[in-house]
Amino acid sequence: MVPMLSPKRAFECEEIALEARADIGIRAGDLLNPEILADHLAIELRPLVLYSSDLPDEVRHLTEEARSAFSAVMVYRKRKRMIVYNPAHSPRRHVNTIAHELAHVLLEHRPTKLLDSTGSRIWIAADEEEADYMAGALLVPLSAVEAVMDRMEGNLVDAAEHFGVSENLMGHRVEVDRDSVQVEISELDRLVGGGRPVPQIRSIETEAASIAPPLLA
Amino acid sequence: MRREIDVSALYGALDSKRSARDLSWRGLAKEIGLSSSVFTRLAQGRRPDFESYIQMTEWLGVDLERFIGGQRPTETETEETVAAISAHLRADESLKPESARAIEKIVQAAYEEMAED
Repeated sequence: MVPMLSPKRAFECEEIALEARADIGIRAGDLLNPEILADHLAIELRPLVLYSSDLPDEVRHLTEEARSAFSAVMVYRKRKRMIVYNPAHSPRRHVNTIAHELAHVLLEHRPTKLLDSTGSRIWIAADEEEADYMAGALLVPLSAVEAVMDRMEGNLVDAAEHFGVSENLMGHRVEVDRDSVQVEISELDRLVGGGRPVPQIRSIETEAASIAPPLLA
Repeated sequence: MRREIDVSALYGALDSKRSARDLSWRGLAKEIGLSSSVFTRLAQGRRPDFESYIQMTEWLGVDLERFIGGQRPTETETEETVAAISAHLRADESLKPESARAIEKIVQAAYEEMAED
């Protein structure tokens, strides 16, 4: 079932992900810390607890009783954005949450109103699906999956550790239908190569020593 | 008076021409030869570096001085009520009403803190 996007759109996500990685000076096989990407994009990340003094009941509710229900919200004021996230989650869920919110930015999705008139959240399935795929592409680029899995001798747990993501996400990335998407991956050099550093997966072995440990672990 | 780039006006001009030409920000970035993140940073109120600024004004076909001015009084903006604030929410599809209300309060507070420039 992965990906549900069209191969063309999935490929575009992979391409945008590699551009974003090149922007912050990392390669396809490196660990991406989404907090560094947010900083590069000048998008402020705020933990929910910053609102504890003004909104103690709301913060307590969202970090305790409803802690699993709320991950983050990106708030827009005209063209500006800010992300408020739930700090009560595991580091790997946090990584995925922030990558998902940044994916909306990279994909230039239009924000929506928060809730409809009945108080239900507004949900644009196509955008959410794209952002989910994009978050995976950012954290675990398809062009690096095979090399990293080989290096980890097929061990999903180690590969997830390498990228600082959940095993669940790593599993999804391994299952992406490469025949449909990766055919075009080889085109990436040509497409994103124009004068800028091109992310290369063959650097994984030689770069192993310089790969940073997961910042949030 | 300190002279600086009027980021808001620059962003507005780029956005108008971009929309008129049906370009995404990424498409514009490719056309000018800049990284897309330059425009995201601009949207966040950061000033571009001088090289990027030159390329932006060239693309717009205006002279370099066009967006350089003294600090202007910020436009008065009516604050939006939470019903009108837009967002990208990552949460359970079926939120309990109590949780939805709590998130609304947080969003309103965050919105009010975001300074306009």
